[in-house]
Amino acid sequence: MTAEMFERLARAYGDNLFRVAYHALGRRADAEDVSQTVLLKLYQTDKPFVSDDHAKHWLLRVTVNECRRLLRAPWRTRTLPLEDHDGPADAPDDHSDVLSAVMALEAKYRLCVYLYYYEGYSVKEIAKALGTKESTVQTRLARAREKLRQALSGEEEAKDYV
Amino acid sequence: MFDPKPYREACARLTLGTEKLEEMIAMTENTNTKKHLSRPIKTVLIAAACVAALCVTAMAAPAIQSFFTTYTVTMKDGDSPNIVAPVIQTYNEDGHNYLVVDDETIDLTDALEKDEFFKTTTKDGAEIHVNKDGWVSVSGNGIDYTFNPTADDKEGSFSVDGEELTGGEIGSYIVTEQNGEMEVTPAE
Repeated sequence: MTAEMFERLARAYGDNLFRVAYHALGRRADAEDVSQTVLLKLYQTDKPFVSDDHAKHWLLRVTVNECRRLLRAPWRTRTLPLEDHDGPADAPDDHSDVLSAVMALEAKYRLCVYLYYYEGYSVKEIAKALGTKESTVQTRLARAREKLRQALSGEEEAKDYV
Repeated sequence: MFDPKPYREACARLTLGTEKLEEMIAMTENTNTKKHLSRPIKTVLIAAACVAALCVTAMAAPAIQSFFTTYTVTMKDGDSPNIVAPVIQTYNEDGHNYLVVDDETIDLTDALEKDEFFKTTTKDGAEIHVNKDGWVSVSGNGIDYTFNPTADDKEGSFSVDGEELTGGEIGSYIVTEQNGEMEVTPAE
């Protein structure tokens, strides 16, 4: 990995992997830590990427794995696997209602929602990235949509209430 | 009802920040922990008319170990035809076996599980066969390679125009690996 290629990929996908980590961990500081770790792995890798898409997919998988590793670290007060991590998320900086609602979901739902609705990955691609079954991803997306519907409907009703 | 549009707009605003990203890039490049992989391949053959580059990883069916090896084989034969060998690459990741040829990445996992082999043709007309035990063969354009770096005897063979090359520095070869480096030596 040359310095030029590293910088190009880091600038192209740095925010993407930060968003993945943020959705997985719910905390900006943790997401920044994971982002730094993943960038270091990118810098050190000698893996030959055949395309930018290949690099992006690799970064996604490494980021997910690093998030899982962070959650398993013995010095953390919470040691739940990613699938069970439901720690409170930081309030998103721009206080967007819908983003807040997504970040209020459990991590396993947040990550699927982000990868599907923002990154535009298919169910199959998400399953591969997370190392899980397609049916599991579909179930998580369905449940996430239902939870978001309830959360956002509740907010709309509250706004209309006088 | 979940409307993805405001969510996407909010996500687009969720960034590391330019300053933070540049700081991370600078910190990463200043680390002294850059890993240097031992570069494969010592060839014991002297290059002449043709140089073939071939990248192979261990390919095993289910319990796969992620492992990537590159090696270069050079052959010496003053009378050999102009040999064109395709550059291919195989690697394993997350339990899937991939083949990269002509800049295209192909997932072989299903084919290896179902048919126990995979076959493709390069744009130059060379045929590539990969079987579930990790044997890779490349044939066409005047050259044949067959080898399996994961086999116990790690033996490969090379032939040109259908004739196995024997004698001197050209003949049957043994591919061995030590400390991550592949070495091709003439068979005794």
